[in-house]
Amino acid sequence: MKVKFALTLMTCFMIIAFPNIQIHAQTAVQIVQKSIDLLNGKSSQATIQMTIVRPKYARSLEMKTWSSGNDYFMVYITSPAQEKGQVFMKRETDMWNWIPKISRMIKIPPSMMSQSWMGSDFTNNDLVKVNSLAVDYTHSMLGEEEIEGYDCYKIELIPTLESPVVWGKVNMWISKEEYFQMRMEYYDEDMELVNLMEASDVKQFGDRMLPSKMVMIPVKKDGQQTMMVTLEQSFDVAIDSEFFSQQNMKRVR
Amino acid sequence: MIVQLAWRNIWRNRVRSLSVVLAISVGLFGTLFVSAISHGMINRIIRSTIDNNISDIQVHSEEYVISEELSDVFLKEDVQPVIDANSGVIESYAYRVRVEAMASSANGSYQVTVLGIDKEREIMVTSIHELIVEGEYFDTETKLKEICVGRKLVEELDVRLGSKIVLSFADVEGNIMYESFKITGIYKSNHSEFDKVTTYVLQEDIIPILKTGTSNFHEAALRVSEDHLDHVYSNLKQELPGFEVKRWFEINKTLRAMSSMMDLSTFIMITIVLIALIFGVINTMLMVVMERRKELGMLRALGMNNYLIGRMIVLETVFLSIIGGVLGNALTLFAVKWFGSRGIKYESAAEGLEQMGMGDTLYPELAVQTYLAITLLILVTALIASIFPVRRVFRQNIAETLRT
Amino acid sequence: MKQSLIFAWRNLWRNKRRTIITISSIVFAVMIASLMRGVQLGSYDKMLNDAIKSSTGHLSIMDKDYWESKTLINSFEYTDELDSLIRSDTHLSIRAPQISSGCLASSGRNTRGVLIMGVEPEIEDQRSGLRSKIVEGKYLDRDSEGVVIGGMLAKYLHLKVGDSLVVLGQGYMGMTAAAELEVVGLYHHPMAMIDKRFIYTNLNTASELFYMDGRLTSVDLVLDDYHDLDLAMTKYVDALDTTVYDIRSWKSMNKVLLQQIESDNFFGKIIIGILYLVIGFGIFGTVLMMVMERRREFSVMMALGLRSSKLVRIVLAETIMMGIIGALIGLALSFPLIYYFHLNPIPLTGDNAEIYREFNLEPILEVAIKPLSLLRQFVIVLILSIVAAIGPVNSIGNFNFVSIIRGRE
Repeated sequence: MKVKFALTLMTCFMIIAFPNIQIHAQTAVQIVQKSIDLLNGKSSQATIQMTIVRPKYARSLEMKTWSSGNDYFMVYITSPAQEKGQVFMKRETDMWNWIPKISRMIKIPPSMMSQSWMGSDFTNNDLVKVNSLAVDYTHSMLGEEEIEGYDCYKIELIPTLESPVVWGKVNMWISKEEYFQMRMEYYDEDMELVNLMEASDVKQFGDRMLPSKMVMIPVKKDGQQTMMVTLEQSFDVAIDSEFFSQQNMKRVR
Repeated sequence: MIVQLAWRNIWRNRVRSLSVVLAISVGLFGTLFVSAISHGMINRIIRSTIDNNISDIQVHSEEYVISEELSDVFLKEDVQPVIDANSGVIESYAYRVRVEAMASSANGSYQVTVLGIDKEREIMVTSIHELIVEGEYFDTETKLKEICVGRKLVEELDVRLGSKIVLSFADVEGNIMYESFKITGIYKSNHSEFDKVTTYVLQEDIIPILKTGTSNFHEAALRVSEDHLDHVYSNLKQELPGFEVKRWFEINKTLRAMSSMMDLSTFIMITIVLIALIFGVINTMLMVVMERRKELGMLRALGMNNYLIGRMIVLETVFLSIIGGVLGNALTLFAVKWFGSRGIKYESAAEGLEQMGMGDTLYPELAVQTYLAITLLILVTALIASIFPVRRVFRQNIAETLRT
Repeated sequence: MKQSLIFAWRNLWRNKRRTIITISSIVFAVMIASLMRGVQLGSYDKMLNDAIKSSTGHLSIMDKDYWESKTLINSFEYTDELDSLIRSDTHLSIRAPQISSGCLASSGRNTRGVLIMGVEPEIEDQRSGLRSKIVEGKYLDRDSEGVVIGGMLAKYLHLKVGDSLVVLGQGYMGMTAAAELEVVGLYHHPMAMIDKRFIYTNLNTASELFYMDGRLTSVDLVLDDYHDLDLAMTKYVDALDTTVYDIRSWKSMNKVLLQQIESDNFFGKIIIGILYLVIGFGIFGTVLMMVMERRREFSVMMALGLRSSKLVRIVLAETIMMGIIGALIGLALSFPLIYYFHLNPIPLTGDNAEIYREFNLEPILEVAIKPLSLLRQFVIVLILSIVAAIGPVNSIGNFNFVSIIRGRE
């Protein structure tokens, strides 16, 4: 009786004195994982518009995407006309490219993986290593900040010793309630900011809310950025694994 | 008797002898030093390329040479017995795996060649550990996989000692692998293009990732002394069918080209200096003969015939040439030694030379054979140059000379 | 003073043989130095012309941002005005418009990063002798849409003449550039870097592939005479809008070549320094002996009352006069000598000839005619002669003329 009372008192005391304890019941890595799962779902299908901005020009592409878990991903370019019909596919760590104009299927070699994808500020690597943020880093909670009107956890990600990651550090801002990835900062090993990602314009997509707009800015290069706007997206659709095949790359529309 | 007379004549008139000796010894020094400089230049490139990069002989499987595919490895047990059989003449050897990879940092990426080396064996074959300017040649206490890169690559990727870089490459099955390595050593060779692309890792770190197998390698590098080079080469060729065995000048044809071109220009330079020498000696000797008109005329009057006088003069020239030769060689030896250790520095041309593999200083050096060959050449030339004035002696009129 | 000079002059001609011998050593000195320098300068000229011709050209016109970032976005429009400006230039021997860009080449089995060079076939051949480097198949012609690739690249990609090559990269404004091109020929280039990486195709083919639509990455200009470089630079800088275009000289584009030439120059200077040393001592020896030979003559003069200092001056005057005459004759003879070798260059044989040809250089040893250089040799040898003569001439002051006359020395 006494013990039970003491325990209850202690718990109340703990809750009042340390309200933050509740938060730490969820670890930083769990938060990050949740934000990644939110973006991908078990599977998804989407229509996306990508605008590449450069000092001397800007161009826009539209594409359809399909994904299944973290290992399978397909992109079909629908516009502009010169690019239409190109398909990119990821299977685990391999990436393939189908170019209908010359009827060729190319496996992207290691030397190209760090090159930009379709001229954007994303690399082929970025498309392939979807779950990297959860597994290649150790995560620690830095605190809370407001981004675009959302209360966010600020989490610091430090690459683990052996992980094949070039960053010195990554900072993520993930909204507390919804687990939106609102902002990301990528630093090199000298802790200089190299890349910045900002998300905004939250909308309803299928069964969930997500930021529809994502801008990637290579901070050290003036006048450059890539903006991804999700026009439509549905989640947990049925896509069987045969969908992600080289034959299908040639057929998909 | 003529010999004694000739010898005494030399010492009788120091000034006269000095002129001839000087002309010969300086000429000799000139031609030898020109040779030393050009040899020094080309040898440095060749030696550093052999030391740092290609070694004296390389062995690959035939398929590898054509396709450079990761899977075209050879079995160590196929090659080792042949090496052992020739162990008397092979100075050292090492096996390597080789893969092309992308090296990436947060700020850039660059295509490089990764050499998986045997830490102990490699330094017997190349002098990479002597070229380390920062950090160490492996053996550091880090938990990460170690990589040793050239300073040029460090600049290219905007990283430093201790930085982590990611190598991406395809393994033997074609899967793309990403591995992180820590830069634990930075080297600098004479050849900046080499430094940009060549990286070294330990075999035990890279072979498991490549999945090529622990006893399989892409290349064997051998050090063989120059005298045994062709002998070893033909032995290996015979005993390793299905393999491609190459000597250094077959691996790097540009080196051979440079060597030839250098020989050509040296030859031209020496010819020109030689011509200058000949004229110098002829003129000096002419003057000598003119100066000794009275003396020679006297000898004639005393009964010495032309032939004997001629011989005497030729002998004097021989002696003077020998003295000049010794002096010239001594001078050259000294200069080569002095500059050889200090080097002659280029000022502004350094960067271009480093791209070519020459480094920024010139070290003259000379082989014993060259000393001998050129000295002989000069002595013969001096002799021939002295014949001309000797003939003048024969044409002189006794009475005229006595009258002065 | 004047009297001494006349005396000196007369002395010269009193003993012709002696004078001629001394003068001839100086004549030969000038001629040899000129020849050496001519050969050295000839080889620099060769490099400055031939090597530059096939690599960057003497001048290159490009977009103002291109050199810092060699991407297709930094290409420029080849307008009619630019075209007529260049065509009206009479000092040009070659005008080479180009589109060059890196991309991937794939044969299905293998992929490799390559550099596509879109060129005008005839012009490229003028520059680098590419046509003669073709070892299999044929060279590009104006109408073909194929490519020629290096033997090493062909080996790596397992391609033969007639096979198709896929190129994949990014075109102007980032658009995907992809095409299947026929390999019409294989070339062999001595530089492995080029053999492994350079793919040559028609300018039009490259233009279509990369969506260039009349744009170029550079126009390389080769001058008839590289001395016109500064003039040409000024002309183009003045005529073109430098906020749009960048006009570069080879010196800023090919630093390696510049430094190679500088280092060769450095090396050459060491060599010619050694030559001067040899020459100097040759003259020293000659003058020394001349002085020795005239011991008696000098002693008699001193016995007759001529002060040794005056004698020294007279002999010095003689030496200077001989030096001037010798150097002038040497200079005069150098011209025909150099001219002869300039017109009849020494041909190279065997291995060396092969090597020169591989690098698209004519296998000859060129000798350059440079009047200024000849003049310089004239001055240097003259000074050298005088300096070399000072020692021996001064020693006259130490003559014990009594003993000499008596015949005891």
